[in-house]
Amino acid sequence: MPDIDQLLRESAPEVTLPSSLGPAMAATVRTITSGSRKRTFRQGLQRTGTRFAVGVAALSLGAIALVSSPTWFDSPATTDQANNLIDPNASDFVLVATKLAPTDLPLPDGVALQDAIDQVVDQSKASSAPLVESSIAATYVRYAQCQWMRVWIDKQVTPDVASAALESLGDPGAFVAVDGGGVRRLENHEGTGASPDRNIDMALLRSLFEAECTNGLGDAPKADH
Amino acid sequence: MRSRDELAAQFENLATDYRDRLMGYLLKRVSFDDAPDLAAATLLTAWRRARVMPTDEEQAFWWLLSIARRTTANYRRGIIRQNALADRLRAVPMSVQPAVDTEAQLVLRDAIAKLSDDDQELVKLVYWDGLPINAAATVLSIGEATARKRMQRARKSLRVTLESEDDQITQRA
Repeated sequence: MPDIDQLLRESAPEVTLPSSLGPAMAATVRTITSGSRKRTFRQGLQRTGTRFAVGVAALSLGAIALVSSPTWFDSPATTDQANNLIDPNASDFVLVATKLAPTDLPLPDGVALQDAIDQVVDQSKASSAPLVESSIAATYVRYAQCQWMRVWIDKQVTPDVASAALESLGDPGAFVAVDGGGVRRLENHEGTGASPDRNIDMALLRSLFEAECTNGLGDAPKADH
Repeated sequence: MRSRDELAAQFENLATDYRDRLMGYLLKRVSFDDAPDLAAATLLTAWRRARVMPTDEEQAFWWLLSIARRTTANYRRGIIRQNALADRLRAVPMSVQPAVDTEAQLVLRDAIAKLSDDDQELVKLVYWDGLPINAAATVLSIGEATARKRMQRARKSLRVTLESEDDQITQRA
């Protein structure tokens, strides 16, 4: 019987990193710690096509103020335009998440869109990582999927109703593309999703629920909504 | 309270001193193409939260890995995508070689895949990334005692699988 510790150490992939990683990493970090706001300004300028000198001067002053401020990372600005990222810890994140909530999201009786918004906000804040719009939309879909699985498992709806709703939302392993804030297109994510049908084995449904929904997305909404 | 300049200096030192280990962590878990984006996203998040960065450099690295872990989880949910910040890192020719496919390694790989996600990550942090158990516990945001218990459980499960496979090979022979 081989030594398990040795086997586990030998199971690690071997990573080879060239010396050029050093300067590349240093430049990336410098951009993050000092230059990102300037780039945001330039990109924003190109995007909006603003050419007026007064506007340029005003924006420049703003950019300089942001760069030189010792607490710039407390800024409530949600979007990092340089990287198209959304900060879930920004003070206006709830507004952004609400705006992205698909109004046609199919939810079981007793679950409101506001419940979905609350969960998406909580999930996003918990991850603390920067997000993109499609990821927020995907979390809404995942929330709806988990809620339908929950009411199916709890026998609050018939398998026909639940499976039809899940079918309309796509596979449990799917993510959504954003199109006008609604649920429009679903794609199988690396083929990992199991298609729910009305004859699905309850054990499989439960295991899917355990794997995808026990992080809060499958919790029943609180009574105060 | 550290000034912005002090934080920036500490953050830059951290990224310099631990760049290989951070990239190694990511390259062992995600595809070669995605590691630069995850590194950039991890650093961006870490800088935004720099005020809570531990002053001790090693503990700061564990903190950075905990952010990398959450960023990687988001990547698996399809959340992280290419961003311009990663351009420089993407240009660096990095390479990853999987472990040699011996019979024992194949069995072990299957057995690791059957562990829970958290147990898999614990095993990888300790055996792949060389972290002590208390550091792995910090990265996973769990207590050291819990980490030890989980590691014991994971090793037992892996050992049982390997022994069972060993018996089957012996019987076939």
